[in-house]
Amino acid sequence: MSYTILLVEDYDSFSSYLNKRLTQLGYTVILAESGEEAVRKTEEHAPDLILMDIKLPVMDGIEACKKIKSNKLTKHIPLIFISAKHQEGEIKEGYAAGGDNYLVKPILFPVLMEEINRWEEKAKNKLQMNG
Amino acid sequence: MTERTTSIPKNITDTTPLYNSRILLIFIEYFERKYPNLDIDYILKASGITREQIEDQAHWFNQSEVDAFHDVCTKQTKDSDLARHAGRSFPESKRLGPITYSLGFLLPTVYLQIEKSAGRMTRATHVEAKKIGKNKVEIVAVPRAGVNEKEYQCRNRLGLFEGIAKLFTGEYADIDHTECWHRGGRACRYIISYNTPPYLIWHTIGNAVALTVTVAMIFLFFLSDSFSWLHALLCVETILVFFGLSYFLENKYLHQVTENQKKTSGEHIEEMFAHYDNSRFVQESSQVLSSISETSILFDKILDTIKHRLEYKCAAVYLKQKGVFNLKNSYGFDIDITDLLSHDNLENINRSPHMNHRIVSGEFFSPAPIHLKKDILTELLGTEWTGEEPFLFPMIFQNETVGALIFGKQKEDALMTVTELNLLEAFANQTAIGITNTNIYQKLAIREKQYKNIIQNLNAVIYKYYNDGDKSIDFISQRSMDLFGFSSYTFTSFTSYYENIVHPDDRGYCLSEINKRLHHQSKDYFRLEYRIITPSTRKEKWIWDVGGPITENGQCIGIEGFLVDITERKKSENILIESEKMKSDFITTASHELRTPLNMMAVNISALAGGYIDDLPDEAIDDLKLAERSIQHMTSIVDELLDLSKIESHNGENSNNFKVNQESAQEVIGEVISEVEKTAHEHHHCIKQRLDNRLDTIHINKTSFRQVLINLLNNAIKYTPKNGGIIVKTELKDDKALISVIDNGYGVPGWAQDKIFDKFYQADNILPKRYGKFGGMGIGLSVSKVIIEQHGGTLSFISPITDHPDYRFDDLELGGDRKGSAFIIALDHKKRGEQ
Repeated sequence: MSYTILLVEDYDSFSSYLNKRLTQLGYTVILAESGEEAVRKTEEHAPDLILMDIKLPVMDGIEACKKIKSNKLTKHIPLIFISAKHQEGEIKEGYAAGGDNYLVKPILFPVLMEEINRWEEKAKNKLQMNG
Repeated sequence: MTERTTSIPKNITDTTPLYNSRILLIFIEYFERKYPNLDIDYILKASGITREQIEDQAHWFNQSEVDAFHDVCTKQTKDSDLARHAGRSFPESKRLGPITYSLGFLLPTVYLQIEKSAGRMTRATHVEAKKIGKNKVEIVAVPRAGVNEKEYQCRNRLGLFEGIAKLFTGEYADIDHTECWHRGGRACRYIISYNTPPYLIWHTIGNAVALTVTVAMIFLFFLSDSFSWLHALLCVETILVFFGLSYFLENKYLHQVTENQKKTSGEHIEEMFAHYDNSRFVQESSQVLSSISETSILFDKILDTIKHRLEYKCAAVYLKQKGVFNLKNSYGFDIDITDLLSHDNLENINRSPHMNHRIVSGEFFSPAPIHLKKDILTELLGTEWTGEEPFLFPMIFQNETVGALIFGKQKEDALMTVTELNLLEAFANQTAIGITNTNIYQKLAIREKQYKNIIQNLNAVIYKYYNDGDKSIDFISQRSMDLFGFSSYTFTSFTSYYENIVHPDDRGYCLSEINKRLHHQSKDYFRLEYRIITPSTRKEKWIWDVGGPITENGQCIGIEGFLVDITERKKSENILIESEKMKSDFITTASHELRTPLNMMAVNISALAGGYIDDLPDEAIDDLKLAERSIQHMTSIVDELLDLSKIESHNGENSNNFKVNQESAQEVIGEVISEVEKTAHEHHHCIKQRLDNRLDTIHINKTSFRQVLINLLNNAIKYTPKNGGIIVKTELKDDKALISVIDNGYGVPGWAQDKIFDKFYQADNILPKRYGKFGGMGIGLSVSKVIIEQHGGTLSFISPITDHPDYRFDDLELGGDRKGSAFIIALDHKKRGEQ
């Protein structure tokens, strides 16, 4: 089964572009547009990686992250924030909510890929150690 | 001592020493008693006589000197029979009085002794005295040949003879001047009659009778057989009767003497009464003076008092205002005296003899009265002065001349007695106090009115309450009614204010601050902002309460302060806060919104440029990479704009976000370096630290400070050719914490040094094109400077650093394009725990 990424982003253009690119590269991409949807889909699909925006309707990314990270079943899933919020306080807040990394928009695709690859590698290594 | 060997000089002229100094001393002593205000030094000077001559009893004056002396004295006292009056006073002389006792103890003897004793006083006359009857003595005085005796000298003798009797009988002798040398006679002949003390007669009779009876008794005892014890008893009785009689008469005389003394005492008592009246007058006048609150009324009252109570012929009152003596009121003057005390006139008065420069620039140095003589007044006024010579009494209060009073006496007694002078001096003094008080009172009244107005018009409630259980009110301004709907009548204590009017949510905070003052935990003023609910309208209002403890002997006895209605201000403040928030939100949103499309572009382009899609021609990839850099540039512009607007809003009043704390210098620098290390590596730079151990902490707003340091490091990285060196150095120098970022980069050319902190001034304008293009909007350094200034510090730089001992390091290779620069942050150094 391919590496599954949950992409939580309310900006259609960005999410559909990334969806297209990542799918092309062989990843399974699940899309969510709100924090609430992200929490639900995380529980449903148990993705390998979550890329989450912060500014989201209904429930924001921080809140959603807290929920995911407080759930025993989902807390192990790496969660990367990708947000235009770039001030020190905002970034700190992201880490405090349980985010595993924080990428500031605008991001460069190669940087994103580097990040995804890093987590993917990590997961593989873990699997091998366990296996 | 030459006095006992009085030799009669030969060939007497006007310059022959004839008169002993004692004669003149009698005059001087008489003046001291009768005319205390008379300027004796002046008299002596004008007569060509010195004090030493007068005091030396071995000194003799000649006729001219004595005449000049008498002349001056008469003019000064206006007493045409001065010599006689002075002569009469002879027995009262303190220094010469005792001489009389050496003249003899019994009255007739004194007169008869004059023949001898006159020689001690004068060499000019030959005196003979003889008893011519019961209680009658004839004295004949003949001026010696060549003596040019004046008639006043005869009057002086007359007075002297009159006075001697008073010493013994309490009454002046009755003198019949039957012949006068000055009126064609051959000599001056004085027939002196005086009363004999009656006890002397009876004493003599008593003694005579006792003697006679005793002799008779002895005779009868031895010669007569018929003398019996009965006769003896009779004789003794007779003696006793006469002794008793003489004793009775002696008593009667002593009684008379006592009566005389009583009479004298009565005079003294009268004098005392006069003093008492005077002091009563001073007291009454001072009461009147001190009770008047308006100066114009005061002057009327002063003049009125002088006119009716003191009965002076003329008087004037001058008030000194702005250095000028202005005539305020006067009466009894025939001519205009408005300018009598003008500046020039005062100078003239001051220059006149015996003033000893008592007036300097309109200030009197002594409250002693000044006799304004006729000639001076004539000179001062430019018109001949025909009235009496008045006295000027300076009015002085606390060494400052308030004004002057002028009094002219009644004609018959031109000179003032010591009592009068003292009284008037005291009156002038009282008046000075009265005027000063009135002025102060008037000023106070004006001030009070002003303060009342201010308090009433002030958009604030002034209050003062006691530190008692109730916080009961001492004072609250009426404005409270308008502002809060409560007045001083309905509002009695501050306890009820805090408990019933102050908003329940703010009550605790208010009372805790106020109790700190009442319980002596704090002596500082407090500034409280809280809400109240007005009792009448139940409206919420914001109050600014500024006050402080009133302390007495270190104890807080109450609180005073003011309340201001700041509801409107609070409203606008909230609007301002709201708008600040809106502004901040807008910037954040704008920044976010700008980043979203930028993000889209960045992802797209970077994916293309990164070869993630199709194989694109190299040319296209180069173009895309250019577009990618532009996106990065644009992102940094957006960031800088955001920073700038944030900094600018910090400069406003609501810089609540800007808080400074003690931070570890080492930690902050370590964090910042690790943040930029990656970029530095990309440029192959090496970042080193040179930290001063003494500088453990710095007082900073960490976020802002980091931003500055990152900016400086990024600049250093950017503007240093590859393989450069960067040093972060800290140093504690003269109570300043210096944090510098030093590089061996391109440096800042001299001509651009005053521009680099300007907003929007870009490095691309400064550095040659060959160094490449650096981008950025040029906000970084100006923002950094503002942030450091917010810390109360300075941001400066040195470039090149080639010759600078503090910033030149061996491991920073310089030369060629490497001019080097050092950016130095200087902050006030506060030790740990210091605020």
